[in-house]
Order: sequence, then C-alpha cells, then structure tokens
Amino acid sequence: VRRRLRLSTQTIQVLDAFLEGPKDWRYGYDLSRATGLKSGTLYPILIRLNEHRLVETRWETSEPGKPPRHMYRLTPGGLRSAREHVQSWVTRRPQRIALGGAES
Amino acid sequence: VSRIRTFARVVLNSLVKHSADETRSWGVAMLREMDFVESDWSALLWALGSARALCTLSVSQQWNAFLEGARRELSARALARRIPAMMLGIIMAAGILSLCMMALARLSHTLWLGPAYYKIADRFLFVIVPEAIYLISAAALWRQRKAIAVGILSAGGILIAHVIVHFATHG
Repeated sequence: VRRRLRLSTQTIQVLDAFLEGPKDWRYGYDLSRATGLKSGTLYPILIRLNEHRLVETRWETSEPGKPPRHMYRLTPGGLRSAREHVQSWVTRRPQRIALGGAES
Repeated sequence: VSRIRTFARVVLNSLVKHSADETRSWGVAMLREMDFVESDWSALLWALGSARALCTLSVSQQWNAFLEGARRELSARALARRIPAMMLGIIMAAGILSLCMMALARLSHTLWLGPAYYKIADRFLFVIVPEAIYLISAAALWRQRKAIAVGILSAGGILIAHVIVHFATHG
C-alpha cells in the first residue's frame, strides 16, 4: 500500500525547481543547487516522488567511458500535480516572498 | 583527487555496496553526482548526506517489509490455514506431556522414591523434559513446519504459565 505523499516545504521546493523546465531532465546535483537542499534531504524526496510516479528517472550515457548519471523529470501526472501543489502552496503562504525564503 | 574526496567516496561506496538491491541504484546515482560537486568539503558533506539518506531508506524499506510480512502472516485467511497445523502441534505437545506423566507414574510404581526424590522427578518429568523436547522440536520444525512449531511453543508457554501459577500459589 503506497502511503500518501507528504508535501513538506522542501518537497514543494523540489517540485518548483522541476517546474522551471517542466519537460527537462535534471541531475541530482543540479536540483540540489537550484533548491539549496543537501543530498540527505533531496534524495529521499526524489525517491518518494518516484514511488508516487510523479517523477521518472533514467540513466544518461552520453559521456563515453564515464559512468552514467541519473536524471529526473516530472511525469505528465507529476507535472499536473506539481503545478497544483505549488500554486496552492503559494496562495496559502502569501507572506513567503520566494520559495525557500524565510517565512515572516 | 584529494584525501577528503577519496574518503568521501570510500564512505559512500562502501554503503552503496552493502545496500539492498532496491536502494543500490539510488546510491549509485548519489555517488556519481558527487563527482560534480566542486569543493572537496562539499563533496564530503554530499557523501555524508547521501549516506544518511541511504541508511534511512534502507531502514524504512526493511521496516515496511517487516510490517507487510507480519500483516500477511496475521491475516484471517492465513491464520485459518494454519490453525489445523497449530492444533496438531498442541496435540503433539500434549502427547509428550502425557508420556512424561506415564513415565512418572511408572517410576513411582517400580521404584520406591522418597518424597524429596519424588519431588525432583516430578519437576524434571513435568517441566524440564517436556519443555526441552518442545524447544528442540520447535527449533527443528521452524523452517519447514512453522505452524506446528508455533503450536508446540504455545503449549510450552501454557505449561510454563501453569507452573508459574502453581509455584506462586502453592510455594
């Protein structure tokens, strides 16, 4: 039985980072820099999003002789869900100027 | 490659190697991303954070698997399927206890036992021998016939509870 996705502020930050390029594949480190989240926070979120089929993954093998990199992208359902959640989060927290910023 | 980065790689790599199949691909992904972290100290922090994430994930997956297994084992249908085998285990345990009682009765008829020896023989044949047989047979049956083993252990538990109550009330 899949548990309900817990939408923490950090999860919203990750979804928002994905929404910057909704159809782009993103690297873990790239997402970490975009959100400011450490690997210990980011990866559990990515794993949960993947378990809920909001994010799909693939291995990039573009550089010959180098190990592949794991990439992440919103699924069509994930894109819908991300837009809804980010929008509702922004409207519920009007005092928050930017995602990841300090709450007043 | 600096020592800090090498250390970070060794830490994360050893965790990835020992992680379960389901989590390994995520560990490999974290390990690979570490190559793109610019500073060595940041790479170390990346490795430590990734190690924490892997450990948490592994513990949570094992806990979920345990809960799932327990839920399956305790489901009404699974229990109903196991009840005959458990009853068989209890009957076997009762049979062993009966044999011990018969042995005690035979011993008291054939040999003259003083009250002190009779008490020792009584405790030995009523508690120690049957409990030992229960434990050995349950251990032997655990892998192949778990339900029978559970039945035997339940009977053993009842016998122990009976003995405790007996000693608590009669001294």
